[in-house]
Amino acid sequence: MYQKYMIYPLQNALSTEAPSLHLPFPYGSWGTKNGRIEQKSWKKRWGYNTADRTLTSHTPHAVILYQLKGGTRNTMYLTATDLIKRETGAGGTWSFKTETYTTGTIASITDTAVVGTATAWGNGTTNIAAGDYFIMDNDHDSDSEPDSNWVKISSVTDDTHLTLASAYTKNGTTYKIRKVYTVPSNERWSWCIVDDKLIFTNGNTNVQYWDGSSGYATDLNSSVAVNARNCIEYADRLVIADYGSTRDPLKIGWSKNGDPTNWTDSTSGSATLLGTENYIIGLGKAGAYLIVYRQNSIVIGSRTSEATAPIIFPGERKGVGAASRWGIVEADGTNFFLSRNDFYRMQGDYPESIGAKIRDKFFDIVAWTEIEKTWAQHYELRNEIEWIANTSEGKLGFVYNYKLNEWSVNQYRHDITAAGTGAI
Amino acid sequence: MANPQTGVTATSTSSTGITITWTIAEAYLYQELQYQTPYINWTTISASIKGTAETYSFIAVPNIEYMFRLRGQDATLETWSDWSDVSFPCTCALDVVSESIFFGGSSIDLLVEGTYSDTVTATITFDGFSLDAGSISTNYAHYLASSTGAVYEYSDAYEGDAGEKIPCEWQSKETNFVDQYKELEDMQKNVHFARLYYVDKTANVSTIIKLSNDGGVTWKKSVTKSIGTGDGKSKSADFFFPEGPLSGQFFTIKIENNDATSQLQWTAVGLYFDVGGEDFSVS
Repeated sequence: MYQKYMIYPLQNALSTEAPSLHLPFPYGSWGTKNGRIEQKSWKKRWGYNTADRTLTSHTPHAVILYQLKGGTRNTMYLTATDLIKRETGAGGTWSFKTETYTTGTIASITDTAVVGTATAWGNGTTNIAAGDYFIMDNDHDSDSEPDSNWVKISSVTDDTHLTLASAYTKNGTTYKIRKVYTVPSNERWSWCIVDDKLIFTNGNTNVQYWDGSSGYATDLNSSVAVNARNCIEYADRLVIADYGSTRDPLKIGWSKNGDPTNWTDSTSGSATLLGTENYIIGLGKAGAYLIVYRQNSIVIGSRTSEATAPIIFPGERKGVGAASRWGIVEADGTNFFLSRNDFYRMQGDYPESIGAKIRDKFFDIVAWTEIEKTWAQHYELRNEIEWIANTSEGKLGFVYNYKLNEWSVNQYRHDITAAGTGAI
Repeated sequence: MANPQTGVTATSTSSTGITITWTIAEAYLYQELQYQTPYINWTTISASIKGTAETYSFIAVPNIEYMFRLRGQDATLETWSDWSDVSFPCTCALDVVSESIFFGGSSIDLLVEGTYSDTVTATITFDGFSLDAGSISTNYAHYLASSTGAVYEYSDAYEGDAGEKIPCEWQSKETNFVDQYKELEDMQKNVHFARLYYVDKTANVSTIIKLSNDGGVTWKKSVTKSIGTGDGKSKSADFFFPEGPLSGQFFTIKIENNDATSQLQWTAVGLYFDVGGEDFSVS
């Protein structure tokens, strides 16, 4: 008669914080992957279907549900160069909503040489540049991208002359120039929705917004809201951080109350953190607080009742900061983030460690240079936050179930670069 | 004294009309007609109905039960007769037929009297209406995007990654069984087979159980078995290790599935063993 050693029930996922022996509960060890704990048992993780949309050479950095007050719902993608809208009309695929220049008309195109009438391509304020894309309206099927007629601009001579990278045949007179964005190497966009506007920014661009109309994204305020690495809605206004023509990594700015486009009103303003030992990494909201994550501290902001000084920063917790700008997640009524040595959840204005079961392994296989690139996503329906990192064992998703306090690991078949909720 | 009327009968003629008929016993000077409802005691409708009349039209409230009675005044002595027998109850039913409803039109016709039927078939036409702008849909999806530009819908409806296999694995801690058998801490164990407990969600699921006695560096035993019929019941399946038991002090067990079609739910796993000798190092 055999004796029986039981792991019963199979109700725990990964735990890497202790040696294997003598654990009171049947946690999984490293090697456990692509599953989740549910109903006190181990289930396969979700899968995904064949591509819903293919953005060809455009690698998404963010998937955004942009829902307008009127009920219109858009699924948006931010790539290294463009803002893209998922199109749902008959035959539609996706369309560019990137900032686009359309002033004037085309007088002639000879081979690659384009001559404009009443155009201002060389004007310093329009910022048409080599690398942007040109297309004639008559050639453009805007809702069914990718349109093969887009041609890259190789140089801009002056206000009325530019050169394309390949020959183009003039077709009508109206045109578009798509002013592609640039994102700093190894960085991503920060985005938020304020006053029905989708606002997005990175350290290389003026803060952009798109209002959901048939038009394109444009500068929010090209004199103040520039090169911001972070943005968030707080206190009924837009708050940005780490910004400026010469970017100030300790500066926080906010727009007029109720108007994210107004940065000159008396209710707009800015503050610069004077503890200069480490930079701002990201922004979050938790309860009444505006959380300013720095590299090695957390600054607590709060709202005042004074119109001309609406936000103050009364507190700071040192010794814990955010290591990854895109590893900060708002979920479950609070914030979760990745620090230099642990994973945390904000409890009010206090960070609480949640990473005991995974941190040793995570920091063992993820290099410092990869930690700051780690990005996170929130699966609200599964109560999960997933930090995706390049590890010495490949690209892995470290999944935390905040209802069960369980950790698991996902390894996808494809090189996942972004995730998010969108409309069907 | 006169004799009272006979044969008092009340008949509904519309949603508000009742006709009362009766037979007079003689020619009266006047007749008095009364009604009663569950809520109102006998009340005179008229005490001056013509002495030879044998019918009366009464306007009623719909859906109220009415009863009627009469008496006659002697033409000579001017004395009243006794009350007649009371009529059977009579109710005027309010019949409502929705013929058609026009939203956005100029009129709404809800009440139709006259001809009734038990079944009314009608078409309701919504004309000129649209969902209110504030109506927010709840149809959301979670998407994953890849470096190739592909955007995928991530959902529990899919058991593969864009049709490709998902290697789903659960690997135990290395154990010497002492959390359940304190006395076996320093003993060799011979593991003969593993039993997997599972919820049978998909038929013929290829399931692999591996066993190691060196912390998972090498998997000395590996058994693949197709399990399940997809009936949703809780079951167990035994995985006998080939070529005899695996002996050792510490063991690691691993459960695997690698396909793009199966739902999995593993609920428990057990190792069946017997005890060998005491474990000691000779070097």
